[in-house]
Amino acid sequence: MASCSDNLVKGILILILIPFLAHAAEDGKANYQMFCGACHGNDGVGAKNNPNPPLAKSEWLLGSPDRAISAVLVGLTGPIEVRGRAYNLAMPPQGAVLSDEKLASILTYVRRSWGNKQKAVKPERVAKVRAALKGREKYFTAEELRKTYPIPFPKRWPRLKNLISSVYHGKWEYMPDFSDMTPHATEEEPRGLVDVAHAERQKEFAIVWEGEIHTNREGDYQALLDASDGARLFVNGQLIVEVKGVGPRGSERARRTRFRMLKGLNQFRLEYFNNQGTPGLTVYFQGPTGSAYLSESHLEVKESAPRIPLVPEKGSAILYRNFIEGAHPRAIGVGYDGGVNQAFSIGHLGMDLIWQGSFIDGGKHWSNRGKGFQKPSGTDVIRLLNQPAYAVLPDAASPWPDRGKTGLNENYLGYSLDENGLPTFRYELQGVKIREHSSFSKKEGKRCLIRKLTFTGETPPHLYLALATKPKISQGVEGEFLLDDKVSLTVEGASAEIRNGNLIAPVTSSSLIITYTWP
Amino acid sequence: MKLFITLTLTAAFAHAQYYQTEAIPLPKGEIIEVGSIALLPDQKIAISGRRGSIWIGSGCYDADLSKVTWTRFAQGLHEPFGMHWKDGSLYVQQRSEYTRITDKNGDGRADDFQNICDDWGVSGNYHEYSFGSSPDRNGDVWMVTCLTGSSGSGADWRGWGIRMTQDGVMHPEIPGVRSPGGIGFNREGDVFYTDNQGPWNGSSSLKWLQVGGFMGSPAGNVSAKKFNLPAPPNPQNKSRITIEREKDPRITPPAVVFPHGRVGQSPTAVITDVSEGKFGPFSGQVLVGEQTHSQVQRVDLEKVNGLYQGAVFQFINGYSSGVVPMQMAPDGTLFVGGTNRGWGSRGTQPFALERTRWNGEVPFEIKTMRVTPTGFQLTFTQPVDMESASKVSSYQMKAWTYIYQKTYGSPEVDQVTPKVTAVHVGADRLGVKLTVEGWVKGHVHHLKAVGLKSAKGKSLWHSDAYYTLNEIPSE
Repeated sequence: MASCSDNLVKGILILILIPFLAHAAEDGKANYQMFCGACHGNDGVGAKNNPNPPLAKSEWLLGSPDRAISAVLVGLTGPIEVRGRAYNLAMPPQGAVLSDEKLASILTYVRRSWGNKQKAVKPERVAKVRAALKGREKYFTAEELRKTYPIPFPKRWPRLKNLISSVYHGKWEYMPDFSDMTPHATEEEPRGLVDVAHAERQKEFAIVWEGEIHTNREGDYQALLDASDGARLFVNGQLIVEVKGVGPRGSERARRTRFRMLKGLNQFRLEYFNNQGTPGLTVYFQGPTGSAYLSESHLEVKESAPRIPLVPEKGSAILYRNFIEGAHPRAIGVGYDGGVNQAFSIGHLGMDLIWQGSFIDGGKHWSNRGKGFQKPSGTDVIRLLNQPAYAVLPDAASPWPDRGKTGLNENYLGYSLDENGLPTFRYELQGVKIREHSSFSKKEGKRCLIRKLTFTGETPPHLYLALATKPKISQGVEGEFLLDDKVSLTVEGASAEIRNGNLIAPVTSSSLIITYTWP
Repeated sequence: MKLFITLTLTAAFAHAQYYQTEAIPLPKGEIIEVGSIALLPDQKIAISGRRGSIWIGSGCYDADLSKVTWTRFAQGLHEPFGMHWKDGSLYVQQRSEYTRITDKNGDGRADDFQNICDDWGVSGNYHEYSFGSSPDRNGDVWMVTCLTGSSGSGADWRGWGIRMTQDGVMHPEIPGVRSPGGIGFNREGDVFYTDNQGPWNGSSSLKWLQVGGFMGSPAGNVSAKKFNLPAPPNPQNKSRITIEREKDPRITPPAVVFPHGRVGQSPTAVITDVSEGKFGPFSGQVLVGEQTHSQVQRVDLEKVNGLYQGAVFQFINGYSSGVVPMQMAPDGTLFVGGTNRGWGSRGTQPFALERTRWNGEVPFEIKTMRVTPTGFQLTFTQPVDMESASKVSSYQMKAWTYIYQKTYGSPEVDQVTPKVTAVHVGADRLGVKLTVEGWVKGHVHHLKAVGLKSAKGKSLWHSDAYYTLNEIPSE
């Protein structure tokens, strides 16, 4: 008797619940097909080569539903990679159209259909995200979404290990034969991701990556390869899939293939080249226990440099010795409190650059491997020298010589810091000792850099100093010169003149004062 | 399950049983990716950061490390890797300059930066690192310059071992360097540096920077041509170093190969244990830093037929960042600097300064592994158990070499399985003599002594040794 009534109660409960559940599921499917199916396909994939990303088995649906809720409510734009393919479209915001209940039903349906096995979404959850995004008009980018709601990729996906990149320079329309080529650079890539940025250039290069793919199960795997321009994937020495020739990524050029991998270690080799245009590469593996991108998507936080502005202390100067854009590789940047800056060139024994405003940002060299030359941070950058600062000339009209042909034995001695921390650079030329001290000043509200040169010893005859060999130089009034139509320059202690497009001054006195004034 | 947990804990804390590593606090808010360490008078130390600053610390030897203080000595330097103190100045190896840095007015901050030598080239490639040594017995310092982009030579003297005299004269002595991680001296005062796996380096190794030698990579040979020096060796691609050595004896084989992945994968600092026993039973041996695996390895060197060779053992694990510079103070304190920016490391901290000290307990270890005309001689830190030590099965051996090639790295090739056919245990039980059949000149010989027990029944702390057999003595 007792069991009978229990069953009856259960039966009633089921009867009450069935229409509720059925209604919820029905609603989600119908709503999806109405609002979403046109682009994403009623099967979550759509037509072959659908320009819109699939939702079936999309990694963007893993974990927190807030990622998808946010994208649907305020829209999503720009490049995105889904299941190994690159897309670049905009999804307009649907927040105004879809109520909390409707969107919850759609996302519940999407997250539990076509192989997706995520938790249902409640209207309250949508309401919460909607409240948090209130007033936002800006679409999300994939990058921001992923940063805010990291995708919880399962851990056991195949991983690349012991990855090595070899970069080649050249222009190709088809994959070159690498066997007789010498790489421009070869590097270990500890992140275990292939990345076109390893080339450090935008065009006319090729990269070969070699490493190991580690799997946890023998079985059939699928690889998707998409590249601009060409790419060729080898696993265990076999060519698996190839994107041939020249063309963009994210198109019908993408190739998918099925192949077998062993448990544990498999040899990986990927060849890639880019002729012109934006380089790009997607390598995506799917296997019995999961899937993984083996390529850097460039949607996540890129290897973009953090901002580390370097600022001199009050009344002092700050030094930065590294590779500065526009200066000789052997240069020391000096930022003076007051907002004037220079790059003193040990290679040229003079000033390579001057600029005003902020000094320099350490972020480029102080993050990751610190590749490249860093631009000065400020404005009105004048590149003064691209040749040695001193030379012995038969006469003022002679052409300015290149490095090693100045007729001088040049020797950089070092620098000392004065009581305020301002450097005095020291060098010698043919027995003449030169001290060079610069400082900030302000004249009539304008920023100036005052450079004092002191010569000790007997200067060789016909010794000239080049003040500028690079910028546009024009003669102003009262001995003033104008550099790149921006910065004025005056010299005390010598009469400077424009010769062969350079601004030069004979060195005959024991001191020179050069004043650079910004407008 | 309980047993399993116990074992795990034992493994994790095994080194703490013999060696204790402590973090030395760095100045708050500062990012000092330690690239070099120098020992100063009055128990001070100086560290340089990759961002170009130098800091001087007091209290780094004290029991209470929370009271360590730091002052910034200098800034604005170009990624120094190498620094020592001499006659009141710090001598600093910058990328493009060897510099004497002095605090002339005595306010605790450097005010004079004298260029001693800057005669080698930089093109602006980030890979053009320069690693500098302390002075050798003549007062000269040695520098190894990394290649441009790790495989080319985009400026003068990239990929060379260079000697600089105190008055700043540069002597490029030894070509063939690829991608160094540190430079130092063994007990005898000979110069060694670490070179990393890559082109012409099948695996990473410790190399003897032998004057008249050639370190393996022909990429830097262009400088010899430009400056009219005799042409360095030009080895054949996809060969073996033993074969190429016979064609051109200037080719110096690595003294000790560190098999890639088995014993680290990015060796760095080279120092000698100068503690005379205060750092445990390995006084006089060479210690090598390991960036990627955050370790310190131990090396036992010997000279056979005029060439260095020897064995590498894993030693101390678990540093909190990638180990780059090291210094050992005479009191047996090992200072270890860490950075992993751009490179990654097992230790998860982006940068660190740590010190390691021996706690007085002697681990049961293979202390030395030396070659004999017929096999190897091992010595131990503690007497061995007669029964396990006399069994040939306690000593398993495998050997292999690497392809000597211009492409990156090499698999382990030409594998053989040498056999230990006889064991003779010394009367003091502190050594055994192994007779080995089937060994191969030029190969790395991996000895696994798993069954071996000490007289007190302990297993070896580290049962693996990797001996590079460049030469076999005739008697």
